[in-house]
Amino acid sequence: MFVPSNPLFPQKTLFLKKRYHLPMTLTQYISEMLSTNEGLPFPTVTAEYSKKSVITSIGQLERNIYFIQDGIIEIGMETDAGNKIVEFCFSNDFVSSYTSVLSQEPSDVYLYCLTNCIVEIIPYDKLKTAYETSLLANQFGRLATEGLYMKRVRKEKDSLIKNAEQRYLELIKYRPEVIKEIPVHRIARYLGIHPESLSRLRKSIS
Amino acid sequence: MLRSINKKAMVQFQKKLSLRWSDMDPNFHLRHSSYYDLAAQSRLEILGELGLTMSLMQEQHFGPVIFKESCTFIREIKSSDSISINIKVEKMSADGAKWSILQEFTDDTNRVRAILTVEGSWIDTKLRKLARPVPQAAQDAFNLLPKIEKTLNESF
Repeated sequence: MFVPSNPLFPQKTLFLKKRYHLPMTLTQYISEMLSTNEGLPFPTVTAEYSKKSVITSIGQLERNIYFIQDGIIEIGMETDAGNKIVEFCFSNDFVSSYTSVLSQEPSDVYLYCLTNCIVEIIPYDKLKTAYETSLLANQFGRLATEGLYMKRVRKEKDSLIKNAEQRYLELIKYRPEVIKEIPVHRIARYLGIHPESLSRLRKSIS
Repeated sequence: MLRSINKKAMVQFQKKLSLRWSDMDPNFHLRHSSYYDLAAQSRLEILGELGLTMSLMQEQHFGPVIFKESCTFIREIKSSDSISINIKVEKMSADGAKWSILQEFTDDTNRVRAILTVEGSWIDTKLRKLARPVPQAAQDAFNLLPKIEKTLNESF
């Protein structure tokens, strides 16, 4: 049975777990999130990408969803105005060029490894096949999609109402390891400010 | 609570080499032509781990075909050296029909000893022609290889 620890805020538990930053396999993650002992209803492949490698590049058709067991992945875009960073993803996060998976159009974002990364690869067509027969697969799909949705909406709202400082504080609260692992200029680009402004901001906080 | 599970084999895009006596040349270092064999072996092993196995290619009658292969020898490799070889996609067309792979021979201090690049495509082994469209299994495996560029580089 699917009994989330807090039915109103399933993300709350997710949030807490993330702060502890436990590298987990997808099976462990699902068994914990969905309180089940069932095995995964679809096959996955685990792979280790070294720092600075690109998992998905812009223009490529994305056919997988990735579960980060360990490491930090950057989602970004290349525009005429330069490189834009959309998101940083951490262990126990799902990451993918999701719109490319769904629309089967070439990806408009890249997935780039900021550290050495261990990811579990979920082929989307295998997941779709499992949707037809497995309740667990559907629960997992919902969990993953809800997680992505929450993240997206939160980010959209934050960009409307919060300034760079607040967003920076939020980021380091959510993932303290950010400061150690991600180069300052990339954090600045994510926040949409100059690296100089970020270092000034950091100085004023500490 | 964490549940212990059988740890599945992890695909690593870097393979450790074991160098054989017959890989050496009269100068007691790795023979130039051996580089190509060793790189091909590690390439095929990695693709196999990503699901693109020899038996699958045989079943679906296709295989990789090479147009151009070149190697830059930077520092000599001796039989006692601990050498790894990695794999990265340098260029690839969106449908995976044409690709260029870069492989680096590195030592245990991560110094690059040689760089090998190989350009190729897929051949239909029954028709003896380029396989078009590219078999899905080949596309899937190549999509998972680590890439160098954030934007797909199709400049062949």
